[in-house]
Amino acid sequence: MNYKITHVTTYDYSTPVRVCHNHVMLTPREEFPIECHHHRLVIRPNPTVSSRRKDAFGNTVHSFSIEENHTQLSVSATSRVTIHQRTYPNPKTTMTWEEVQAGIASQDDPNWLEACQFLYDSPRIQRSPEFCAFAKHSFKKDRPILEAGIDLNERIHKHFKYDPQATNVFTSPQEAFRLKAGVCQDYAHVQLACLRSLGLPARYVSGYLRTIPPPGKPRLIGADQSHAWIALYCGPDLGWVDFDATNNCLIATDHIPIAWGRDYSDVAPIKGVFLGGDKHQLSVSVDVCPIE
Amino acid sequence: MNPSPTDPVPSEQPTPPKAPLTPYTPKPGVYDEAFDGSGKLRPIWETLAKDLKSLGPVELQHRLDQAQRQIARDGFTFNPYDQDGGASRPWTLDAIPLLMQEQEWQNIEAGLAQRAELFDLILKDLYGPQQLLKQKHLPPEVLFGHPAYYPAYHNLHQGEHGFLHLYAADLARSEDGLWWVVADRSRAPFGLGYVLENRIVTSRMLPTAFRRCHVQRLASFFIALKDSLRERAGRFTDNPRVVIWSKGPQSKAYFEDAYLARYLGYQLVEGGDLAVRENRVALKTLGGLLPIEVIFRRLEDDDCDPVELNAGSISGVAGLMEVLRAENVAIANPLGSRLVESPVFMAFLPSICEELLGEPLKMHSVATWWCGEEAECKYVLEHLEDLIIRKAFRKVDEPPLRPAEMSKAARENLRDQIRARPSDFVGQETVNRSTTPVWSPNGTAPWPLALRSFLVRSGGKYTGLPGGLARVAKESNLLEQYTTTGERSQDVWVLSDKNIEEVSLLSPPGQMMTLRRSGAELPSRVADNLFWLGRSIEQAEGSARLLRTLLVSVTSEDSYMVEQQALLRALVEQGQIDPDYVIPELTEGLPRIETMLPQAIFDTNHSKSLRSSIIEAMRLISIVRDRMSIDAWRIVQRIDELSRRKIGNASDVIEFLDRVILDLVAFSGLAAESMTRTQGWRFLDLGRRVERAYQTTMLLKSTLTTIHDEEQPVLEAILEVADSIMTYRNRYLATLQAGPVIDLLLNDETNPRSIAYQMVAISRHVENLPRDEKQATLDLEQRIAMSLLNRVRLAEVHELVKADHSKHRHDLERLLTDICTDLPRLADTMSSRFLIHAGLPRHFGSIQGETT
Repeated sequence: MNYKITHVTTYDYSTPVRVCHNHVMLTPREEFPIECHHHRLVIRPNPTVSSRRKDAFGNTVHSFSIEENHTQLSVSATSRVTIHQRTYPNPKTTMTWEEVQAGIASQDDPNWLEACQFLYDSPRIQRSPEFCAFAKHSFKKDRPILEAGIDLNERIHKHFKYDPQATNVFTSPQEAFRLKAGVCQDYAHVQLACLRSLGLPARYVSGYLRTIPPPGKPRLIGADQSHAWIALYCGPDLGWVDFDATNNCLIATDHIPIAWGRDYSDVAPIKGVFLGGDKHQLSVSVDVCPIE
Repeated sequence: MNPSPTDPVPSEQPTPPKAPLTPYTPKPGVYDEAFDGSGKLRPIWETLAKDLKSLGPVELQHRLDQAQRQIARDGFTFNPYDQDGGASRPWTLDAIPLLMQEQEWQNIEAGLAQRAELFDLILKDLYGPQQLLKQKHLPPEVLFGHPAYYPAYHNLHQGEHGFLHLYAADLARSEDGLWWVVADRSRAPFGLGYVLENRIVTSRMLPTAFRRCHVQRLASFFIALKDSLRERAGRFTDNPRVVIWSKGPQSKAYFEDAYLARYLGYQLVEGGDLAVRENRVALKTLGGLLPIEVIFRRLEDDDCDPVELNAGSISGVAGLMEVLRAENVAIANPLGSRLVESPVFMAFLPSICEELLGEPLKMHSVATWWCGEEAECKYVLEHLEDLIIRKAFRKVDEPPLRPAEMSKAARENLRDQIRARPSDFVGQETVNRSTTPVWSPNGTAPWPLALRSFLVRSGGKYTGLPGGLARVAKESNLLEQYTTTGERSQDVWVLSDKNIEEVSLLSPPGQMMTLRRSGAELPSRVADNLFWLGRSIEQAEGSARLLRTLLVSVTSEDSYMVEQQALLRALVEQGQIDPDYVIPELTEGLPRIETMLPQAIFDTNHSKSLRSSIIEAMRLISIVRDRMSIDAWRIVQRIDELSRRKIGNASDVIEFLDRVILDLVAFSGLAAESMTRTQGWRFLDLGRRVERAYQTTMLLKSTLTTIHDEEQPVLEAILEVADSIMTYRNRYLATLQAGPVIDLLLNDETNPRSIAYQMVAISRHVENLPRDEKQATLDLEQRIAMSLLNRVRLAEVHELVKADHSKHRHDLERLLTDICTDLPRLADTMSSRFLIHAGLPRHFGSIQGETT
């Protein structure tokens, strides 16, 4: 499946901002299942200093600063990508989750070191007996990992009511879990907390989701949004498998991953600090356009 | 001043003091630093013992008292707990130093240098190729599970200079005479400033012994420290700009940061003084932005950059990480260095040492078991009562848990906690610490000892500080609580067999310093604080003079109500007292002035009270301490102490005001005579001049714009308040008239108390502030200052003194009102141009509501 993705973020300030320092993660990773044909990042006004590097997880980060007075900042990222279809085995035939966990713990799994980055607490995720207990209902003894993962995905989906008003970007997984409501970030954080509490490596994935208009209606341009889900390490054969609890599915070609990390704090699309500006208004427009 | 630091021990008896070191009974089964197992004095202590004996206990106590007063005068307090804003107490020194033989010190130094080398390699590896993880010498959890770990630290490390720059180890000596490392410090180890102060004070207290003992000097270490910072500079390597980055006055280390800045000759900065521009870190000064080459860091790793690290931190500088990646600035210790000071690493050091250096670990850590490994965890749970339990990953300093002293229930609870999250804990053995002689007039006693050693990496190797920070306490437990607790401290003398070469930091041989007279590098924040310090000092003086004149008048026999009314009005105008006092119908039920005034003076709830002005002056001088002389600091400290006690009696208050005024005058004298005419002095003086002009204007405005039936007593009181009565009498003898008084206090440019004099000084200062030379037009603050001066100069006394039929001096009032409006405008204009470079940085609102 081919897409053209346009992601425009605009900040309008009521008084001029003198300086800002920013950190942007909007460039797709170039590895399966994604193939990136073209990527362009345009920042207005022109940055005084900018650089591009790979972070510790292999994501592309653009850092820039603007050191002239400005009342508007816009960051627009345009990408043309192909998403390849992934195939999944019969969930019942996969390794048991205990085998995966033991492989990591004993460091016999060939990918143990990479997986270990996503095994412990991280700034937004604290493992706890509560999450462990919730996860254990899906991760029963000797259950194949993919089957258990799908079951947990479904249970989290049912546990939550999708409600953008219920939480904000700083809500902790404990709080969201208690509220039983939130957005994709909350679903993903709770799911990560559950899996890591079991001793399984799981990472946060940020990206986009194609929206399919209701039958007979045209696709609304610019009405798409950023999305987040998780990936669970399922052993050396299967590797990382992406689960979207918000939509209760494994990802296919509708999901476009951009970056991954331990939790939201590692992959926030834009973060930064500015001086001046008084009040500011943020507008985000995302367009995920399928290309034939 | 705090009275307690001179009391050496609480339980002092009036018995005749006992000679130092005799009698002395070491504790059985414990190593003693001064006496061997058979109770014989160790040979290296003989010279000191002889000297102490010849001094005698009375003289020694006398010198210790002197030393302790010196420490208190230098303001050497410290906060023993590892948290900011905790209570500080005076630093307490013991009369006896800790002695150590050169050979023994060299062994310790070699052992710790190896240890530092090892930590350096571990840090480089963990933030780089991670071979230690890949080859399974370290479990991945020590990095990825570390709560202080940020992925952003990866690959930040700059080339050839080593990662770990400054390292400290806390040591304890066991029964068999072996030293053990009980804690490692790899961030910004606390204590170097205290080591210096201990040395300065102790060598002054025991000069003969210090000379005869051939004590190794500390300066060589600080030279190595300076060299090490210089060699890290990417450019201008002969004389790079190095700054000490402190968290600020609210942090417990601030005092030491300021002390080190002064000793090492570096600029002391806070996050607010720094800015990232064009991918360089710059110091914001009055003269503009000056690029910085090296930062000597004294704050937490994750406080340093709010963009990529702890977003909630307000101490950092946005964009720093990018500058570090571009290698446009060096920071020591590098960000992420604190990782290895966690106790979890102790458990792995011996094997890593064999692996990385191919030799055994020379300096052992106290035995440590990390519960993250199954067998170790089992051992800890089985031997819980013989061990102490610490957090495996150090984030803040926490006292260890002592299962042996816990109730059974608490111990079970701890077991559950360890079982639930084993990786979070280590079990450690404790060392039965050695003792060393600690002196009191009751006799010398053996107290347990903790020793902190420091090493710096310079020229590719680690150099130790020949000495260290010794802490002693009656109870050994107190030394384990936090690494900075202890009842007293001792200087550490490393004795050499040879004569000691004199080294000093002051004039490095063969290096001629460039002569400099400028002061444009003054950080804007400091200038701002100096300006307000000048204002609050002057405000205190003005209040004190006004209050004194009023109180003298109220308490004397031949007092005139009319002058009291005028002075009360002035106090009301200044916001010092309740306005009801000048409304005749309302004064009835109010307390008498004599009772009310003392209360108003000491009222800290009132921001304009004298006490509040003094508190503000004290706060400000504490912030800019590194800019002021010790004497200036002491004067303000004395005023502060003086005004802490509330005095109710009017005549005592007058005496108090006399002393406060004298001290404030002494401060002005010191500023006038001892401060070089840098931009710093200029801002201090500007603050004073602006405030004095304002005070005098307000005084004249509230007393002279309306003519009283009997004006003479009012005029006399005004002259008294404005400290100009002598001048007046010299000129006009006893005849008091409004015209000459207005002339003297308003127009006379030769009277240092007149408004005109302040205006002349203000415009001269404003002229000399740094500005763009090429600019053709005048700046706003120049125009305001000039217009103020001209208006005062052009004012005609005969016009000002005239009154209308309702006895109102319109012209005078108009002029004074103009001055009262323009002075604050002038202050604001200067603030916005020079003093406030930037507001508080803010974060972008994060993006919310993303999903389908």
